[in-house]
Amino acid sequence: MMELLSYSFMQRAMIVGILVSLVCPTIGLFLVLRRLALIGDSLAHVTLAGVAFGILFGIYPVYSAIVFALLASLCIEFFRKKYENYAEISLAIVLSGGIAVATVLISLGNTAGILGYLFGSIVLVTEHDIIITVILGIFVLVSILILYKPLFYISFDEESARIAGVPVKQVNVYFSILVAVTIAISMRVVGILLVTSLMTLPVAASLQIARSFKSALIYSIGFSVVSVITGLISSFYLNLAPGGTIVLAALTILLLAMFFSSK
Amino acid sequence: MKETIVKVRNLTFGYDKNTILENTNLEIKRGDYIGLVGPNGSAKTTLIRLILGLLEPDSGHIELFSQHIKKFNQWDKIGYISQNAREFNSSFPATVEEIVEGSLVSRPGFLNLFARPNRKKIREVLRIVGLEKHKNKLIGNLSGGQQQKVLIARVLVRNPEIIFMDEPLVGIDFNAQKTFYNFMKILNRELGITLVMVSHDIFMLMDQVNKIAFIRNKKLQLHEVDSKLDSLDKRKLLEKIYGV
Ligand SMILES: Nc1ncnc2c1ncn2[C@@H]1O[C@H](COP(=O)(O)OP(=O)(O)OP(=O)(O)O)[C@@H](O)[C@H]1O
Ligand SMILES: [Mg+2]
Repeated sequence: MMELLSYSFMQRAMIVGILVSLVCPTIGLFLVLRRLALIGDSLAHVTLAGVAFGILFGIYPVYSAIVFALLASLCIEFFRKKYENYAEISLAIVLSGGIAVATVLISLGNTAGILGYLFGSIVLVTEHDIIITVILGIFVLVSILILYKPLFYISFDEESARIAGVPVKQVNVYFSILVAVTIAISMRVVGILLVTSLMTLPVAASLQIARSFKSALIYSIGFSVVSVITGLISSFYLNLAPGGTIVLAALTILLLAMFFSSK
Repeated sequence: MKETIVKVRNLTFGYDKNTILENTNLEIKRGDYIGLVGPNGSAKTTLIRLILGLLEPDSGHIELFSQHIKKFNQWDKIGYISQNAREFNSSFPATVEEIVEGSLVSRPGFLNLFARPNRKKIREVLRIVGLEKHKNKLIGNLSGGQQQKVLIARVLVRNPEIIFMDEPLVGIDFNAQKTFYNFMKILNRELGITLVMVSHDIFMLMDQVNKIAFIRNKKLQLHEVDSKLDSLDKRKLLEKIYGV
């Protein structure tokens, strides 16, 4: 274990991984409770286009990914108003758009580096990645602290939240920004294809056993941290892409939680 | 003369081109207990949502606590239990206490999280609705009637001066209904909370309320109900209301 941490690339992967494992399930819990888990997935696919764009034009991919994801969440809101009773349609539209743009951009030029973003990577985490992840990760966590109560209110009952004077629209926009940022900082280690899993699997496991909202939040974070650490360690020893090992660890926890839950 | 807390003047509204409320007027005075009745689709729910600013009237004027609805900002004075309030996600992972506490804070803010919630108030409200013993249970593990009480508790904890309830008793058993009505009486008579309740059970309502508001032909008529009415008087009043 100690030997593992003597590699500086592994230290970097752990720092980024643990931060991401704190942020993802926190955002994910509210997404799941609002039945919006698939928003994460749609945004992740758009993020792929953002990364391709960044690589193609020599921009730091996290930045272009955030910009693309933010634009996409605006689009989702826009389409959601058009199809008020079919929220999934807006997600499908944005997801398709994201993949289409990504495919075009990837085939336009030399975007070999994109694989590391698709499946995650431990060796490729740079100093720059760490700085950005720490800054943005803390930004998301602090924002969640600020929005915690209004988000709880909205998640349980959006309409009475509105009547009670919760600035629902502003909170929702702020929250979409947080989702976009979370995906962008998570893709380096977990991979674009599996970011949503880290947002939903630990939450799904926690819902099996939680006896209160607080415990749901704590379990989600706990499961996520354990998944990321075991995933990164096995990725190192077995020489596998970390995205896969992390999510397999999360899946195992989910199965165990289902097995032991009384529900 | 009691203070008018809701004033609706010449209100006209339609979801599309068909108007369903036309030049409707209504005054709710402090302390009123109003039963809002009318056939399915007569715009009871719509009227409440207009008063709450969730829908925008085509024309007319709405005042809440003597303020124009557009300028009104004391929403904590108003409680609302919507017709589909009980369709909430019943596997929401929160305890009764957390749900009630959750409706106390409405503004984003860093200090929210460290602010001590008003435990005494929460406990008192849970006692009023009779759910103290269940405060640590997940809301999904309660019966329908108990869940209804949680929804009432989360409205009460904010100290509203008027509560709108849209068919709160659908699916609630007879005994629980009686308890509920007794409880509403206490809220109204002892705590002085103004109540507006939509229900199709007009016979039950007439024993409780001091006014019946009836929507017919896109208009609303308000009838006083004398608490000393005998059954014959009631039948006469019903005939007058329904126009039979
Ligand atoms: N969102 C909507 N869009 C279009 N029409 C609507 C909408 N909601 C209600 N309506 C129509 O407006 C009319 C009044 O509906 P409303 O829900 O206010 O009736 P209600 O008196 O509450 O009925 P119920 O007793 O069934 O609850 C109905 O004819 C209904 O079809
Ligand atoms: Mg109705």
